[in-house]
Amino acid sequence: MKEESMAKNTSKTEKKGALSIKNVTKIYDPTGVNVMAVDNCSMEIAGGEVCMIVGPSGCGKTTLLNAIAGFHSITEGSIHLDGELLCGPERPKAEQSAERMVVFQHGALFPWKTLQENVAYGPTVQKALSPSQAMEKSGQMLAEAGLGNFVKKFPGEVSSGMARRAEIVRALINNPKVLLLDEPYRAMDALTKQIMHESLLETYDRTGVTIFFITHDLEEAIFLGDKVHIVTTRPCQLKKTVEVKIPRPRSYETQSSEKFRKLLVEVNDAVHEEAVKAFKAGEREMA
Amino acid sequence: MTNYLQTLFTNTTTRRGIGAIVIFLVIWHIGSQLDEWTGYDLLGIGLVPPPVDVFTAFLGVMPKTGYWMSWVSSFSRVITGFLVAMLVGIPFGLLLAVNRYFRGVFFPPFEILRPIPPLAWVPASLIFWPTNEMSIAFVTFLGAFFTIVINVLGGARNIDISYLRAAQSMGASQFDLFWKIVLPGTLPSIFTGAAVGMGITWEVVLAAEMISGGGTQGGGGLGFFIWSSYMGGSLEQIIVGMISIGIAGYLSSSAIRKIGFRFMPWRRLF
Repeated sequence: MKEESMAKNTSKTEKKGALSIKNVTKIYDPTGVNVMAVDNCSMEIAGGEVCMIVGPSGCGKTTLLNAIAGFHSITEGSIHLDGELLCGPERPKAEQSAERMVVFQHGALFPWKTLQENVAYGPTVQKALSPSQAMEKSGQMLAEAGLGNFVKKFPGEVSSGMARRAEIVRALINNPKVLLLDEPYRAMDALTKQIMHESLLETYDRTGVTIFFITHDLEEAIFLGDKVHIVTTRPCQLKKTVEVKIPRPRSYETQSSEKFRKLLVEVNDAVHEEAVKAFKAGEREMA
Repeated sequence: MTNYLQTLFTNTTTRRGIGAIVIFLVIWHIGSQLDEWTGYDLLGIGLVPPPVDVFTAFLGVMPKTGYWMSWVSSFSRVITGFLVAMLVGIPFGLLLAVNRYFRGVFFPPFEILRPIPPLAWVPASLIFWPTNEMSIAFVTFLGAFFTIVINVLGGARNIDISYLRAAQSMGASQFDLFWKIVLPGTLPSIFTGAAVGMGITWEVVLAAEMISGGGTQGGGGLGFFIWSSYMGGSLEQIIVGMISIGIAGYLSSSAIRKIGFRFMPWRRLF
């Protein structure tokens, strides 16, 4: 298992799911008052990379994610996936597609479907599998994720941690190139978070999918990420990229290593500056 | 069957319910007798027949087919109006929710008609519709229709956008979105609308029956049963009619709850 995942990591150059974000600007104009959410933001994310986006609240991180997912248009710039244009000057809004699956902040499992039906939904509507095949595969994948005993449960019957894991399985069954996660573990307690992180890393080691992960939690960012992109307060721009050169697979002990602590200080310094700016800007707006 | 009865009576909730009814009857009895016993009546309410007298009156009407025909005619009016309201109201509400043009055309007139109380429609519908029966059914329909539409519309428009986005990302077509996301997502509101609408239907049907003045024996329904008891000066029978309506309403709403659970297994948790 270990060797297999190591092998996958070494062959990163051939991996799919490379995102190239070039000079993206997004201006919201709901009431005639222009609000610039993203300003000339550029990022390169290699295929199979875990890319963590860290920045103050309301800085436009989610706007960027929505642009990649195809929920919102962009005003300027372009986003490419594996060299193919997702959105750009001619096509401001990317098409929604199963190659870019989102795991939402508040969870979006369909409450009226069991976990197994939820996971089977994608392949069924795409007609990639027959409904019974989809259910079978869904059951297998849930079992692999340690949810084998809960396949017949409705999302309301399981803990938030299980629901989030099932949601990631629901995304992965579509073989996405990129997994887009918007603070998926935000409201969870520290213990559940640990388990979620280990489970996500395990999934990543198994699938090698590119992960675009938005968070406020700096330890989470360093523990999970290959790179941590720190973005500025609104409008969102790339401020600094910190490479996390801690070998995988990582375990929870990693968090107490000196290397980890040093990275944390580095990231914290950069983020703190932005947080202070965001706070002051907030005060000005309130005044 | 015995098992069912056993669990029914050992169930704490059932015991509490029965206890509450017994306590209510005792207070009722004391209240109705207080004047005789002490010379002071309770809260200035005069002639309330004691529960025993009402029960005797109930035994009196029990064997009469007229009484049971009242049940049948009220129920059939309620069900007709209610079912038509559901059949028309659910698609209408969903269309208002998903189609901007449809909403633009039909929402304003709907909103103008909605505040008119169903009872204000009674005289007009007695004139418009050829038979009494149709007029009553129409008014009943109106009572449920507006509530159902408003609930369906609100429910469908409040579906979490993440569900729609997730489904679309997974490749759902417009057809899938409607049948697999919008419709099940709206079901809870549909049933809320149905439960409230059912209540309004009962209110409306009884008032309509009183106004239209029933007709042949039993054909008047429970509303007319109360009215004719009032005309005949039978206080006990009025209360029998009132309690009958209470029970009828209770049966209707339990039926809706049961059906709701059937359609929405995931809601059993709440």
